[in-house]
Amino acid sequence: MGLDRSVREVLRDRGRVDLLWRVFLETRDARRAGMSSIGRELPERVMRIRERSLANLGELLEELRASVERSGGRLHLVRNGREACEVVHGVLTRRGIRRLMKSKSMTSEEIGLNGYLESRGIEVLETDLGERIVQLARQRPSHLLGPALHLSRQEVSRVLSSWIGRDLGSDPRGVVAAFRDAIRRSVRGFGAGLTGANAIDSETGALVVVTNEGNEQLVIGMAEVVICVAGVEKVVRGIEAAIDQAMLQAFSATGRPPSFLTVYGPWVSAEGKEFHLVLVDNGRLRALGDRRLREGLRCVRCAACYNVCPTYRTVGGHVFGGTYTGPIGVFWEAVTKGPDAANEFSDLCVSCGLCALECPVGIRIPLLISLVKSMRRDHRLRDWLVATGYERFAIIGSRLPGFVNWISRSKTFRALLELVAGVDRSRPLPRFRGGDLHQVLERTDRTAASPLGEVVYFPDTFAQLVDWRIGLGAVELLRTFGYRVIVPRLQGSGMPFVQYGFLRAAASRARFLVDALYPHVESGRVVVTTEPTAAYCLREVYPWLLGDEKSARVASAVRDLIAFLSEHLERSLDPEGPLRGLRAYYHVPCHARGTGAEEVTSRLLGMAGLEVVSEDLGCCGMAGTWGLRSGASRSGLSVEIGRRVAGRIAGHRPDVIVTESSVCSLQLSHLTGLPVLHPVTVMTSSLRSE
Amino acid sequence: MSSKADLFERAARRNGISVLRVHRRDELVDAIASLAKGGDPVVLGGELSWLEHHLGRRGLRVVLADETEPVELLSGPGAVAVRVASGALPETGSVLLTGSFRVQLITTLSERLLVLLDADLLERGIQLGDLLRSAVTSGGPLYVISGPSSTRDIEHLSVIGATGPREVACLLVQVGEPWVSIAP
Repeated sequence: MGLDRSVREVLRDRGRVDLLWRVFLETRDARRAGMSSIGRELPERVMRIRERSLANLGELLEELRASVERSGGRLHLVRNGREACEVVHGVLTRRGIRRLMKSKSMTSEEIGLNGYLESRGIEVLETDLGERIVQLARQRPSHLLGPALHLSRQEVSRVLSSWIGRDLGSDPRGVVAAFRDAIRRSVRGFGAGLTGANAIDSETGALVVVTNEGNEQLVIGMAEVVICVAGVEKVVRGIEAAIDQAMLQAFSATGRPPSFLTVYGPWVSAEGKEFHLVLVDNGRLRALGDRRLREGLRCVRCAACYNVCPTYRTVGGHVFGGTYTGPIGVFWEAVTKGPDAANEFSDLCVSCGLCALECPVGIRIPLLISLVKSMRRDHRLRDWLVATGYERFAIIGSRLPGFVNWISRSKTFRALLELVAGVDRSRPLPRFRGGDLHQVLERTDRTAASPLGEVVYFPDTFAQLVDWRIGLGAVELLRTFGYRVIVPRLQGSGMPFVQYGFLRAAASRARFLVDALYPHVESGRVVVTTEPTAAYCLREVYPWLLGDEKSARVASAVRDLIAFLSEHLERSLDPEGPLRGLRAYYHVPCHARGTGAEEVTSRLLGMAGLEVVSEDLGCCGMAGTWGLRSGASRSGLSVEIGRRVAGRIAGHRPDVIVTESSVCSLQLSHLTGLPVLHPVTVMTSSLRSE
Repeated sequence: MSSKADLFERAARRNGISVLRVHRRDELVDAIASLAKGGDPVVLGGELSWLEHHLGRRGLRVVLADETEPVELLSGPGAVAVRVASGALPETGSVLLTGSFRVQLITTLSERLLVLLDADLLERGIQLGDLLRSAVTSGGPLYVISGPSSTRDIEHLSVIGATGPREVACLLVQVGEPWVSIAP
């Protein structure tokens, strides 16, 4: 209930939501442009560095201890936040220092260092602009890199005006200029400085730190006692590796190199400076021992995942997060504070998967979040009812379409459904066509000539039970081009189990489907799909869940239907067909992104005579059954996201929307009022008559 | 024009570093004098002490980094720091500065930073690994500077940041031989 209230409050502030959308769309685009300019070499190199470092972390920590001590510093390897705070306090106390200036360090936020020191009479001065703003406002950072991004310029001005003692106006240039003067005056007399690190080289003990303001150079340059607080996972072997890691973090955060990258060390000749490196475990080493969780420790803290998260960019980090915010914040909170802390906001992950596509080091963030959800002790009955009930509902709907379509519009039934299963009465439910795909196929010719071989079609629940026309269209297209089509009787992909964190049930479903499809794959057949989520499950989720060769083999055989038939379609589509000139907005479903199928489909829609328009608006906010669920943090947020996407789509003035996803279709038709077609429908309507 | 110099110049400009090519000593002095406008003190890195005389003759107030207390730069007029790059990364348009903590801090605290970069160094290619190893074993931080201080902390609008130099300019010295030879 707390999450619902928080979401409701933030959604009332339209200006703030507008600000967040603008900021994260801009950041996403700038980052993508920068990342594409450097190519894949650096990210892939850093991914190998991260894997190698994590695999040898114990050894690296021993090597680092020797390096730091050899170079005149001291390494403190601490188990938890409390110990880390005690070490820092002890260092300051021994030197009689009562004032500490800080550069940005999320690990110090994680361990609650400021509060610990201030409660013991030590003044703490944040020198990073964003950190100083939230320190003065007595808030926590809402973003890994932009702690005050949730505040408007007027709010920032009020906070800093109050500190500086005069009205700074609301022009950010003037506000920052005034802060520049003030922070320079303020750092005099601070004997100690604390920084985080982007990477630490075990061979030399050197720290690599990036900033765009340069404040860490001020802090370390001015301080007599230098303390670095960082997580143990930041340690790598080799100074070039450390620089690569820091450089990638900066590029992936902003799309450009950092204004300042600094390498510090050794400390023995550092003009009298005393150096302490406080390396914090705080659950990281335990996560390292877990086959699936350890992947998250690759994180370089670039926050690229925030830019595309549909819920984070709507509600911000004070709702979507604790100390760590956003998608990867679920992982970090779970590791450092335990799954209960993370599960206070993990519901805001809708499993769209876009964050994983942005992650420069290939962390499967949504799957890690599902894992964290699976650790919750308060699994909700309603989630279970929806996860298990939607297929049963679809079976009943396929058998009694008239009754189910009628009852779906009944206020009494919808109220009951909301009460029992938490399905929001105001959200549309799919309309059933009646019958299922297998019944329809039994009435059609199944003995097409098959000069090109056999394929397996996996329709998933919607094309099987709700609207079999898509499934039938898929089969007809395949037959038209000479394939014999096998449609095994299977259950659905089981995505709701993954989405709500029922991983045991998800694994059981995955096992069933992989076992059913594997013999076909072994016989050389490919598995084609028309539902992007089904392909996502087969390709990404099942191999992760099962971790075996069979699931990997099945994953490698999965194809998007349109992409699979692209060469045939290129030769057979009629640009003068019945859909000629129709202005179509092509909405790429999240689970189709990054597969390459979206470019093919877009091109083929054009070849079918449609005038195709599209832009990357990210997730439409339906996300399977999530957007149907009652509550501000689910259907309320889903509609908010969906309306924003629908508004942008309407700006293109399309006649029709085309999308592969059944749930995107439901959301977009509800919120735009436009007809929504599956690409299969377009293709089957646009084949040359000969 | 060497392709690496071009690559560096393009990348540096993208990052907000202005790049000027100079070919003779008098051009170098002219360029520094014009960039150090405004009466702010010019702080020279130790290896540039020979410029003190030339810049002084142009009416500039010149001090040497080794003789300057960084804390003096925390208030008062903004300083212009002039440093010699130990290397550069053409692909990212970054310059590399080495030196003691004290000299490096002066770089951070300057309002404007002028970096002299030997074009031959770019052409020869920098052994980054060697430079890094040398930096991390010989003391003093290594700065890799790719632009002026900037921040997007307020509504994600890009403005000059709160700490480092507001402006960074690079004088790409192209004399066809090791540029230090133009020093007397």
